[in-house]
Amino acid sequence: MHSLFLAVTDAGELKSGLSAVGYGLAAIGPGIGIGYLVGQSVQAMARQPEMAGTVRTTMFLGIAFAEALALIGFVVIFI
Amino acid sequence: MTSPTPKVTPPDPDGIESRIARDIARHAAMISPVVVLVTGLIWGWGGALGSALALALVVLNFLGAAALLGWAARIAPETVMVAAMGGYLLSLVIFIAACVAMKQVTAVDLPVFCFTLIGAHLGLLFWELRSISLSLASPGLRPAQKKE
Repeated sequence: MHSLFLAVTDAGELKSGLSAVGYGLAAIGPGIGIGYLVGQSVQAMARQPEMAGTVRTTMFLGIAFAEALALIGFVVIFI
Repeated sequence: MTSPTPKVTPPDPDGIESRIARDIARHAAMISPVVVLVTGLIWGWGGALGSALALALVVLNFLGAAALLGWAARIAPETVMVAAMGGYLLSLVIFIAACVAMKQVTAVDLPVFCFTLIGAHLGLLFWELRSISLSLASPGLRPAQKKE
């Protein structure tokens, strides 16, 4: 344990390490969201193929919105 | 007496994502001169360059994601899942690489780049959402069509 603290003496290293962990956590939520969204969309397209165009439209926008969360998560690290 | 059934044109399933992405790109082309000018006036050349690069990155991301999803949907609906997750990971890698690269380049104002990245992504999406929600509610209706 003591050696671990000695290894991370540099504050900059600690900060960048914590940033990476934070970003990893921030990317989990959108990943789950996109997986769920696309899964449900594929199910909807299988049930009603005639609505595939509408489903794909909303799915594309949903993916983009979920992606925005991940984007905010890592951009904050750089600011 | 039966009422006439309304004619509902089903949306074209081929390349619908590309159409949305092109619409987003068109909106981006409309606002980018204003954004670049404003950021340039406030933060100088670095701000203008940062906002221009961020806008270009956002538009390329939308076009790339649309092309990927459209290609996957033409194969089978199941491949859409793989394409969506792969596209998500790919776009994250591209955004991270871009931010790391911009951090090294002193000519670009990094906070302006980052804020424009978020602002453009969300702003263009909400703009497109307005158009899409209206056309989904009434497929024959298009918002603010230009009359020639």
